[in-house]
Amino acid sequence: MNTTFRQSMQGLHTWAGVLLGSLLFVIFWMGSLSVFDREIDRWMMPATRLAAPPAALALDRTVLPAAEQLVGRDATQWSVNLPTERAPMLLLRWREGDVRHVHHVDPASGAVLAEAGTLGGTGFIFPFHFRLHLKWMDLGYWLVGLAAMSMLVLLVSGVVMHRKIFREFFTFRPAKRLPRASLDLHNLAGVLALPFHFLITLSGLLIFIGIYFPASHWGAYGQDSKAKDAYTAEANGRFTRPKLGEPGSLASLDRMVAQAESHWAGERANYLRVWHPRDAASYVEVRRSYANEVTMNVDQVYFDAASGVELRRFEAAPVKNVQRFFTGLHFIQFDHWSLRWLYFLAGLSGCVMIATGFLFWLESRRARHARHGLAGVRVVQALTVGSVTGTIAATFAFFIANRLLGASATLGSWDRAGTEMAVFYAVWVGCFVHAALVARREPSLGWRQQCMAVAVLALVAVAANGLTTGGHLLNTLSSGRPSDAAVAGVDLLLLVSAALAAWTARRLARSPSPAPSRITPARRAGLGELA
Amino acid sequence: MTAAWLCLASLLAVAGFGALALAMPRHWNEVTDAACDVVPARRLLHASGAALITVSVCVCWWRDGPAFGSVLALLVATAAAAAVAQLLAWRPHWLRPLLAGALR
Repeated sequence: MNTTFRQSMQGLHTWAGVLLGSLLFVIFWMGSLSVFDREIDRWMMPATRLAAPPAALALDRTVLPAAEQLVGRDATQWSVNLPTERAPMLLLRWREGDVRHVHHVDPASGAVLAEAGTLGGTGFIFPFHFRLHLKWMDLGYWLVGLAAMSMLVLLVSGVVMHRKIFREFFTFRPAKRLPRASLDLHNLAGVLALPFHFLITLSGLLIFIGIYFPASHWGAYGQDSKAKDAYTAEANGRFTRPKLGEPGSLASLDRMVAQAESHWAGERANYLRVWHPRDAASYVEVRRSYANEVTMNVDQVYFDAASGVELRRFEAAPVKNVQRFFTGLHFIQFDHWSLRWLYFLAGLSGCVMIATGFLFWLESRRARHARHGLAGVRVVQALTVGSVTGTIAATFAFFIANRLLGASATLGSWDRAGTEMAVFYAVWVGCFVHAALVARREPSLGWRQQCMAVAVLALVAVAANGLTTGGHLLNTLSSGRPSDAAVAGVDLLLLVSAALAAWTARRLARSPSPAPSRITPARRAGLGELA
Repeated sequence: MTAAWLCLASLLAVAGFGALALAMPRHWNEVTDAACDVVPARRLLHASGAALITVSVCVCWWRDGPAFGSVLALLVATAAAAAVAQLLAWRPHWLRPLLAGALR
């Protein structure tokens, strides 16, 4: 078989795109939402819509009594995320046996806030982005890793197969027929956001270098269990000492935080952890905030819990800092609103690129597959509709469930947070089934109906938030609190989604999708024949 | 104040990519009826486009320093190029002012 390099790249691009496009769309969608994970948290956890945190934290007065009262005797550690503008509460966490406990504490009063009853943006959407909530044998991580490698392959093969990368740099012809218009949009999103897509995919892979390329530290440290600890200690800094089994005390946390911050040239702490609480060998770990740098530092200071004496200070070595720079580039934990919005838009451009890639694949094959009685288009159409509009609909249903489920709602063995997730998966599966059922009928029916569903769900979510929390746009836009601004932002984006989805549905209904027979072979050749 | 610098960087990038687009005959013809074989005009568009984008990058660096500034410049350029593509698709005549200078 005679194939040129460009043709072989086309085959690769087509197959990788069709096979992994759905997974990539979900990862890009969840990743784009994760950019605003804390804003989604404020929306989903109304009790944490607090005023901006006080400038001087009084941890000994606020979080310490809460921890002493709540944290059980069996806990080997407890930790606190310090409040920020985006997450204005103290986040107290510990584990007893296999049970993870999370409580929010008001940093001004020390009051323990009502249980969130949800995983929210940081607990559901963000982990979905990188491990798909598939914990069995780390399957989720590996699937995401596979998708990320494929994404790099797709980007490179896409550039190779694009004949007119500069001549069509700005070309988008929405008035043309669907295959051409969607290919234009696919190329536009792919070419213009190529640097972002490439960097975000590569940095995503680098974050999990320890999982995907363990050989990189096996080489230097060996493969036994101690080697991994040695690597972690040297790269990430980890101080440990064994429990003594005798009762111990805890000195002032505020003073430890102040002393740690004195090492960091004005940078604040963002996290502290008490190891072996109530033991004589107890010690406290204080970590530095990521607010003002791209690099996600691993700076940390350890203190003896009883005396407050500094035990160890750690800062990463240069090579680790390179990895943490890419990590920071991906995680955007820094405070930079312009970049946050640009990341969000660039992430969504990835979603557009994937969805339009599917559209082009479908529309340029529909006639041929219908003629030859092939099922390919029907199957891929169901997969595409379910993974594009279905994922969006499921996300909005998840938001609605969060607002409408009672505080003590359960479903079978699931608690409230689990029930919300069940709603997400139920709606998602429902969307795939619906898409498969209507795929035999007119081509745009699945898209149209699911777009309408997305629009309705988005509006219901906004209404549910206003009705159940009183945090409707009239209030949140005028209050001036950062946490209310976050809620208003989520509401506004939901309204924009509703408008876009309704507009798309109307347009699809008005202009019946081009009759497949009208795409002549000559035209298809002009589109850059694939496969 | 930092918002003003961001607006400036974005406008410079949109103007820059707009000029680069108009230097291409296809997009030139979408915006004006004037003949597009005026080579000096296209060369001027090309050069000023590149210069405007360079200045936009410098504004980002000046505003945010090398690390944040580079990321910001990259994403501002991406957004600006996408905006130019959408303008050409839906409102091409909005880019006509960019031609005025080149055709004089």
